[in-house]
Amino acid sequence: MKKIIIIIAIFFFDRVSKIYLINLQASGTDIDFYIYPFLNFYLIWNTGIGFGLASMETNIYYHILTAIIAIINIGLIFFLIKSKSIYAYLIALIIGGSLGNLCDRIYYYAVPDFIDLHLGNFHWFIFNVADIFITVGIIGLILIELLKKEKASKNV
Amino acid sequence: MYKIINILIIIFFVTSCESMKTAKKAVTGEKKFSNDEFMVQKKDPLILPPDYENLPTPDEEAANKEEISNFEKTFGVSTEDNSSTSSSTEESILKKIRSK
Repeated sequence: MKKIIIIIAIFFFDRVSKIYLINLQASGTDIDFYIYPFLNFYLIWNTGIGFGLASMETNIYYHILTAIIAIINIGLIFFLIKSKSIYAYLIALIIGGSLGNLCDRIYYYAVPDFIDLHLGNFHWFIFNVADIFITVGIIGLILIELLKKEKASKNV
Repeated sequence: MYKIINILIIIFFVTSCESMKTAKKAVTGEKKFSNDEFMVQKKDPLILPPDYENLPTPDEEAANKEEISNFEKTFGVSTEDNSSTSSSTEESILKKIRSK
């Protein structure tokens, strides 16, 4: 039950942030705010997958890619049901964010990204709230795997 | 190790971050590579005209000019310059008028 609440909370937090900025732009405000010297909001639309890869027009390949992402989401839900403890919470973080991005892909045919972290002229990839939770979940899963390996090597 | 690789593959599909370079391209309207939109009809390949063999060659004209110049040399008459003869006729007529 807790995991479902996590998923729903992330999904809504992500949706609210995106809808707020989209509506702001629709009302005529240019989404290019400087919050801190290293952080600004800059609304762009991503039609591809992570890290700006496979950006494309809305065509058959786009729909195939969306279908693949949907299958991955179903797989993640399957893993969530099977897994326990911290694993399940981390997967719930990933699913919450991933469903948010998938929803945009289906509804807008693109995912709005707006958080731009930068150091001077060096810009990191522009991402959204969903990506933050997905990244936290992924990093957590990788860390657990690495710790497991260390433990296993120590026991041997 | 396989698990970590699988997790890393998943990150590409579930995240949706976009690079600033691509974003700038989209904002500035930089054109992607596309075919020539003005070329609505396929161009036919170049072919020789049917009477191509009967057309005069450029050398022929040059040979004719050379012939004319030989004629001028032998008879000392310029075929192009007719103004001098006409002017002399005029002068003779004028002389006659003045003498009267």
